[in-house]
Amino acid sequence: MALVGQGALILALLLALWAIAAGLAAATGRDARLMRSAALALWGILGLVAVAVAIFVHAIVTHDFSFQVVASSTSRSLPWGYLITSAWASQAGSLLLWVSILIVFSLLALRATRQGLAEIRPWLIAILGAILAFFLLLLVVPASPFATQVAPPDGNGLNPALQNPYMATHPPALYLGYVGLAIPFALAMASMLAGRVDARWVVASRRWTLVAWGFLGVGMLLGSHWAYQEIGWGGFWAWDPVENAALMPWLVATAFLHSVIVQEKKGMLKVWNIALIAGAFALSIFGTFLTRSGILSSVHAFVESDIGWYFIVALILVCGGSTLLIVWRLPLLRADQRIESVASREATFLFNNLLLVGMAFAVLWGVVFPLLTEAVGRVRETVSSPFYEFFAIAFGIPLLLLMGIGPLIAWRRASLAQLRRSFLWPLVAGLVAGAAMLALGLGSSWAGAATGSVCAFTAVTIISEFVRGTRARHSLGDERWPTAFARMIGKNRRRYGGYVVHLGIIVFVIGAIGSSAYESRAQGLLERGQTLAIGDATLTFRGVEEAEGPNYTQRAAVLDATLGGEPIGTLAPARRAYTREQTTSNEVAIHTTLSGGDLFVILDGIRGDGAVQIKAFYKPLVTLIWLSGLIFVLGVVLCVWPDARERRRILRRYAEEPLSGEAGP
Amino acid sequence: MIAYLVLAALAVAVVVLVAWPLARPAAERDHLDATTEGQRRRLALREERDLALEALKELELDHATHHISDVDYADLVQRERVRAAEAIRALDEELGTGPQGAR
Repeated sequence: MALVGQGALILALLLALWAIAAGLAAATGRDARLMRSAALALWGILGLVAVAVAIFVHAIVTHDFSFQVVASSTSRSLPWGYLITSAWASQAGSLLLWVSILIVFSLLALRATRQGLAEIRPWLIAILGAILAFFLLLLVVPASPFATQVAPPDGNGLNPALQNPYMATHPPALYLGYVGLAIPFALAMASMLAGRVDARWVVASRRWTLVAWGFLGVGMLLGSHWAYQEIGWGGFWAWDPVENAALMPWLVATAFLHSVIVQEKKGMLKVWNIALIAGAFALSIFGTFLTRSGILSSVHAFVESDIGWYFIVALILVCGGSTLLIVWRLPLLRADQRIESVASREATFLFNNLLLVGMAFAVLWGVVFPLLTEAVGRVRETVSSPFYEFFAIAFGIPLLLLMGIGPLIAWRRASLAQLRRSFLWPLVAGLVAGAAMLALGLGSSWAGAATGSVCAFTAVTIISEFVRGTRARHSLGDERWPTAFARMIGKNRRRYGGYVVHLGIIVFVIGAIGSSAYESRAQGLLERGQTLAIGDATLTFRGVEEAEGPNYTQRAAVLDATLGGEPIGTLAPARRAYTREQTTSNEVAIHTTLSGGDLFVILDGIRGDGAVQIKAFYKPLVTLIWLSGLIFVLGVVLCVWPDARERRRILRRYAEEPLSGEAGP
Repeated sequence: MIAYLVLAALAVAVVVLVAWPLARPAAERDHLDATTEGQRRRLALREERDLALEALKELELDHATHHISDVDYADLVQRERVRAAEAIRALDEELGTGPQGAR
């Protein structure tokens, strides 16, 4: 079976190379037959990758340890659900997931270019073929999922941190995001190669970027919840390079999603937008490189790894190739208009872009700097949380402020009187919120108080936008209030979907500030019957309980918890010893209070005499972080939902001006 | 042995798949025509027209929600109308359906 799997991947690689060659020949020779052949090659890749995936998954579920990857990341005692999720736990498995998603996305993107973008299709196939060929090459040569060995009686098992239900959702969501960014990149490059830099590629790219960006955002949040529950250090975001790997392309894609509006409305920032989309894709490749090359453990591990240099070459090609293309097409990318005033919506978008890109660069520097110090022969310097937190505050607060300012300013320019009227109530709300926080004794963290104040300002502007829009529709016609509200959103989905996303970000920030700037912590060695106090809560140690799981033994500290003097139940933080994996893990105990805070308890150790070392946190408002994910998803769905009016407009434009070669496979 | 046979069958299938469109001689409809300079110009003008019309709708919403003063609204609406009219006029001239084209 391994031979068939490996053969299927080799055939898929050959088809990807054919897709490049036939796509390029079709584009330069204007041959529709070659283009159809190149497109069919993509369908062939889909079939072959499906065969490879089926063989790989079959090997995992049947415990075929003659597959090296299966033996290294599973065991006979691994629960069935984790057997499935172990498919993307290994390097080879995760790259197979990359290729599987990419080929499906490629075919969907190709289908979406039938209307109005036929001219770029051969170029698009060639670029998608090149990206596919790169990842298939990795799967065929340095990271094959089908490498075999003499089968051992059992496998090594799966890292306990990965034995968590979030393994089913977090990595696939992140990969949908990373891979999704390949499509707008391919669309942008193909449009430039074809000389078609009109608004059509922007519309096609925007939706793909939104989808990828939404998945990256959700993937990061799922990863945060996973880390919060499973890693057990007491936080949700550690500025770990693996986390930063997803954050960087997300920030750049966020900048693109804002600046592309300026291009669509005003014909400005064309070069900037292409640079952003290329940057977002390059960072998604860089993120995969970071997590897969071994460079995070040490530069030497990277030098010795089989896979790192492939990524370096790919990064050079992506960055160099897109830069050359932009320079070549500069004459076609001139702006149609200029920014008239700094007090205009387009100017706020520009400032927002500078801050987002600046923040992405700061994170990139934090990730790269330790690697550079090690590469030049020094001891690896570490860049720790305060570095990132400084930039998160320095760039984050102005960004939050711009989220509130942008909607209140009109395109082109705004008059002083209008600004005064628009900003009055949001400013009052911000000042009142700041004063209230100080009065409640929350001034211990100046960043927390300032952020709370800015969040109130921005939340009021966004809510007032919904109120004003609904009132305007209601007063113009005979629509009832709910109808006016629903139609206002329905007719301006992108605008109001964006506002919903902004609300989600505000809720997230409030949760993040509340749970970090205002958290309480306590720790102590407890003997049976002793109590640890944390804020209004107490934890009384009752004893140690032992239990057996499917592939582990567990020792838990049983703690009776009270909050404000009232019993709230028993908490049982535990340590698990995994037999096959020969490692231990921390299982934290969490109690969520009605006010949205968490009592978070970690068992740090159990002494020989039965006393336990307990670390406890009270994290106010932390539930808002997870709630923000739901709001974020609602906003993204509103933005991505097909806009019939836009579709009609595009159809009319191309019906009036039929372009050559609109029909295709 | 079976594995090699399966692989051979897969290889034949993919070769047939990609060779299929090339198996018959090229016909007239197999030529991908490039977008002409005129088409590009007209497309750009249609985009310009649509952008201006969209901007007018956006201005209407901004005005109704009091983001823009009456004076600014009147000025900006006038500018977008001129922009749309110029695009339509240029498009008519390109197509030979406008006043100049009719002459």
